[in-house]
Parts: sequence; C-alpha cells; structure tokens
Amino acid sequence: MLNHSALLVAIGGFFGAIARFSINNWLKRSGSTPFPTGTFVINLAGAFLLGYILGKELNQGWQLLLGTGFMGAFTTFSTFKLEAIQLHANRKRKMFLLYLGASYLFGILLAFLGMKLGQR
Amino acid sequence: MEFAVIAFELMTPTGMQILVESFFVQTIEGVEKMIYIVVGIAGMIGALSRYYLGLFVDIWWHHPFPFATLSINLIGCFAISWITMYLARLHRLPSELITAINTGFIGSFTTFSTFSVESVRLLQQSEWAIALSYIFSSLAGGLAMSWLGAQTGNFLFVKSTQKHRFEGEKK
Repeated sequence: MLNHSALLVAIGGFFGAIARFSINNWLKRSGSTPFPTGTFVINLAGAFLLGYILGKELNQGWQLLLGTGFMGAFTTFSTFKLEAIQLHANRKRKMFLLYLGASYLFGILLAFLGMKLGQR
Repeated sequence: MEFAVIAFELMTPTGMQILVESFFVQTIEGVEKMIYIVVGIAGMIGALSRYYLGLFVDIWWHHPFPFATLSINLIGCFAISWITMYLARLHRLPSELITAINTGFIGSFTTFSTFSVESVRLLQQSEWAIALSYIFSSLAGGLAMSWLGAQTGNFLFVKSTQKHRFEGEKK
C-alpha cells in the first residue's frame, strides 16, 4: 500500500504536525491570551503557502510532499473548530465571531493571493 | 584534588538536591523531545489517512463539490471534541497519548489550507452555488459536529463519574 506518493505525503505530514505543535508550544510559553493566535496564524500562513505551491504548478512529487503532506498537516480544521466552540462556551462571543470570521475571510483571501503570486 | 572537593560537595544535602534536580530536569527535557517525535508519527498517520480517504472518495464521487475534504474535516471535528471532553478528562490514558491523537493524528487528518484553496478554485470557476454551499457547510457543519462531539463526550463523562460515585457508595 505504501508507494512512492504515500511516502512523500507521510514525510510531509510528519514535519507539518511537528511544525504546528512547536509553534503552538512556543506561543503558549511566551504568554497565553484567550485568542487562539497559534492556530489562527498557522492556518492563514498555510492557506497562503498552499495557494503559492499550487500556483507554481510544481510536479506531482513536490505537490504531494509540500501540499498534501506538509501544508495539509500543518494547518488544521478540527482544532480551529474546537477552539471556536470553547470560546463560545467561555462566553467570549465577540472573540468567537472574530475568530471564525477572520479565519474564513483571510484564509480564502490569502489562498487566492498565494495562487496569484505563485502563477507570476 | 579538585575532583575530591566536587565529590564531597555533592555528598552534602544541597549537593544531592542539585544532583536529583538536574537528573529530573534532564529526564523531563528528554520526554518533551520525545513527544515531538510521537506527534510527528501521529501526524504522518493522519496525513496518510487523509490522502487515502481522498483517493477512495475520488473513485465514486464525480462532482465539483469537495466532498472528501468536507467529510474529513467534519469527522475530525466530532472526534477531537469527543476526545477532549471525554477521554482526556477520564485520565485513564496518558496525556502524551491524548496529545498524539488530538494534535498529531486528528490535527493532521483535518486541513484548513486545502479547504481555502478549494473554495478559491470554486469561486474562480464561477461555481457560486457550490462555493457558497461548501463554505457554509464547512462553517456551520464544523461547529455543529464539534458541538455534538463535545456534548456526547460530556454526557459520557458525567455518566461515568456518576457510576463511580455509585460504586463507591456501595462499598
């Protein structure tokens, strides 16, 4: 089952998860705020970079390693939603709306910008 | 001579304390480094599961709506909330394992970057209805699945603590 393509996804996923975990840990140590800055920045950066990678039209190997593997694992949807409902449960309604709205708006905008910059 | 002085100083209570502390600090640092590798391996399995599930869905799903990513993300939302509200609070599994599953596996399994790029592509192709329904189902569906996971997890946790209390009373 583990062919060449899967190996590239696996390597990318390994480093993507570690990169996300490291950034989140580092941010938690340097003082915590109720706003989930770590996941927010990671997701926006990942959306931009995946857009850039796909815009560049690299060969399939690079796309699997950096796109499906690394950026797919680096960014996360589950933690984003969990943090959002936790904000809501803690009665931080404004922050909940800001987190959701800004993630979707800037995520899609940055992915578009990344694609355009990659295509140039 | 210098060695003897150091050896003697280490024999004193303060010396012993320093020795023990440095040993434990080193061990804790070692464990901290280990967890990065564990999260990485779990992330590898998460990314592979996403890749294979995507390939599997592509066999029978031939519609521009990105069903694979949406289902992956929604399943992940339910799972991470359920684990956080139930398994993590039971304290029966080591916390490192919970981190590996939640941050490593489910974190890598679900993806925000692919969602963003797919939305952009649908908008660029002027598939307005599909793009909007994709963004809306991700937004509302993700929240609903996280909420549902948290509620069922909390329900099971409360039920298990009540059961323990009841067993305690019988004794």
